[in-house]
This record gives sequence, C-alpha cells and structure tokens, in this order.
Amino acid sequence: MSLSTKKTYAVASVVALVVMLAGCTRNTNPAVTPVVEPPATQQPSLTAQEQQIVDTLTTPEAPLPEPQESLPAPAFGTQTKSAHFVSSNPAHEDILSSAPDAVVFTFNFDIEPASTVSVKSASGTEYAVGDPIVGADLLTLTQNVSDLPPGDYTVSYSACWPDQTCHPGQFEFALR
Amino acid sequence: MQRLYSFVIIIFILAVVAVGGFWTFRSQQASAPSEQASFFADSTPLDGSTLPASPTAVVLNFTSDVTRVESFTLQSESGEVITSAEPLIDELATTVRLPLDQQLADGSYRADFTICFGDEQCQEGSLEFAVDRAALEAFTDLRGQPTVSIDLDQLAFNPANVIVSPGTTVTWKNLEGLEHYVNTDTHPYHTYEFDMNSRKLNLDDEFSHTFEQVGAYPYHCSAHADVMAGTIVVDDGQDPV
Repeated sequence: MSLSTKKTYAVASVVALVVMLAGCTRNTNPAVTPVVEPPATQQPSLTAQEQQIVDTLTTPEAPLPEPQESLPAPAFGTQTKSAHFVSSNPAHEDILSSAPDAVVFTFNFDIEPASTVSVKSASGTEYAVGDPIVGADLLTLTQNVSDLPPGDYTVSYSACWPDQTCHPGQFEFALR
Repeated sequence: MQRLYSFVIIIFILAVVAVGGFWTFRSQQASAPSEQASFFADSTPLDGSTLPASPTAVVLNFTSDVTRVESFTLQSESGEVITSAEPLIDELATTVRLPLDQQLADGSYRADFTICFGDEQCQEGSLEFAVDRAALEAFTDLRGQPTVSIDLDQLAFNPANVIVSPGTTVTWKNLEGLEHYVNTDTHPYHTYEFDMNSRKLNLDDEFSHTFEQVGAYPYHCSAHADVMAGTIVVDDGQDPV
C-alpha cells in the first residue's frame, strides 16, 4: 500500500469517526457552554440611601391578589380507585373556589392507619401535612393539607387493609 | 485512486446511515404513545382457578369506574355460549357482574369481556376457570340444616369447606383473641356476594349470612387473607343442566 493510499484511508476514517461522534453527542450537554455576555447594564450604581428610596417607591403596599384568569381551565385525567373507595371530598374533577383544610375519603371497609395520601400541585410541591387520620368508624381517612394556592392538584393514595396489603388510587381537583 | 474514492464514500455513507439510524431509534422511543394501563384488577372466579361447584356469577373488579359494558360472554371449552342475564355494573361502578341463570357442569370455561371507562377507553380481557365437583368429597356435608355454625379459631375457619342447602343461615363466631373477618372473594374487593361481608370480629363476635342461590361461595379473612379461607357450597341436590 502506497503512502498516499494510507493517507486517504486515515482521512476517511477520521471523517467517519467525526460524523459518528457528532451524531452520538448531539443530545448531550456540550462540555463547553458558550458564554453569552449579558448586555452591559446602563444603570448607574446607587447609594444605599438612593436604593432605599427606589425600593420604597417600587414596592407595592400589599401583595397583589392572584389574578384568577391567569390559570387555564384544568384538564383532568381519568380517576383510578382502590378497592372499597366510595367517595372523597374534594371529589375528582371538583373546581373549588376556596382552599380545603383536608382531603377526606370514605371507604366501605375497615381502613388501616398504614394508608398514605399525597396531595401535590402541578409543579410537584407536596401539600399533605402529617399522616392521614383514620376515623373512629374505620371508614374515613382524613389527610390535612397546608394552605393551597390556586392551581391544579393530584391526590395519590395507598389504601391499606387489615392484612397490611395496600392498593393505590388517584384523582385530581383544582382551586381557582 | 478510483477505488480509494469509492472506499471513502462507502465509509461516509455507512457513518451517515449509522447516525441516522441511531436518531430514528431515539425519536421513535421518545414519540411512542404511552400505552393505556389496564384497569382490570381481579375477578371471581379468579383466572386459572377451579371451583367445587358452579359460580353464581362471574364478577370483574376494575381500578376505574366502568361506564359501559361493550360485551361480556361466557363459553364452555367446546365453544358453547353459556346463556346468562345481562351484565350489570354495580353501584360502586368499579365492578361488573355476569349473573348466571344456570348451574355450570364440570368443565373449563372462558369469559371474554370488553369494558369501557371514562372518555370511551375500552379494554378487552378474558379469564378462564374450571368447575370440578370431585373436590366436594372433602367438604363437610351440612345439607338439610336451617342453621350452620362455623368457628373462627387457630387462624382457620372450622369447618372451612361446607355444603349447605338453599335457605341456610350460616353463623361465624370468633373464638380467639385475634381480629378476624368473614369476607366474600376477592381480597380486597369483596364483591362476589356483597352481603357476605363482616366488619372486624373480635373475640365472641358473630356474623351471619343466609344463602339462597345454589352455587359456590369462596371467602376469606381479610386480616389473614393468605392463610385463612373457606368455601360455602349451596346445593339443592339437582344435577346441573
């Protein structure tokens, strides 16, 4: 094999390798992120006193109420139920106008304290507070929740039975 | 030199095909529609089970409310369709039942169903079970008695498997310090014979149920479902059709 042939093979291999590597690394984070310089701010620096005046002028006296029309209509999924699930308050697809203190379940069979409830916003923030409380009749389960801001909520629960086996269920409600 | 050019071009094409294939595979993975999870939970009779007498119904439990029964049929192993009443959606709409208006003879059976949920998501399924009355030889025969007592003791129903006549009232009594239950199958749905469901039974507590319809009634203790089970067979002495 002549030298020029070897060279050509080498060039071909390098080209192929580069194309393959380019493809494989396309979806990964580049090792070096190009730094985009932020545009230079034109604001002159303020003294502490001046800053205080600016803050006073630009800070509203009371927080503005949440604009209700800013939230789109909720898109609810299909409810799934554990065995013995009878009802809940709030119920699936409820659109509430005031925040509930708790999510209350009613079952038609003895529910166990091992049961768990999660109440999450669309962004994944957990609002359930403490463990759920089993009612004296063993048929209700009450999950207290912290102050819910307007939004869409998913309630996921695991209902447990006297032999400690548990079964999941899920529903959604919204607050506007 | 021409061979060399050809070689370079082939290598290049191979590389492009490899990269292209890789991307097609990735995008297919990303855009594949997520398959709807099955809402089917369990059934009485259980899939693959053998009963010592005909069931009174085939009962299906789901994890979401049933809005419509598209079809629900039962056939014997020879393909003969078993006549039955119309399938019913229970008050708690996660359960569908096919009431049988005849006693099934010994043999294998297959139920096929298409059940629809919210927004017309319809799901197909099937289950198979068998009836074999040979198992009745091991049962305690208490036919002809208007009342029958079954003890809950030593983590067992005693007697666990009994034959009674139609109209018999069976009373279960807990004789030990463990909490027990009397619950119709399945665990935990308890939907097959809805009134055959006690709440918690402490020491000396009793629970009664009167059996009218001929057939097999499998049940269990919900606190010890893996070890404590029994079957009531209601028999009127007539052979199945």
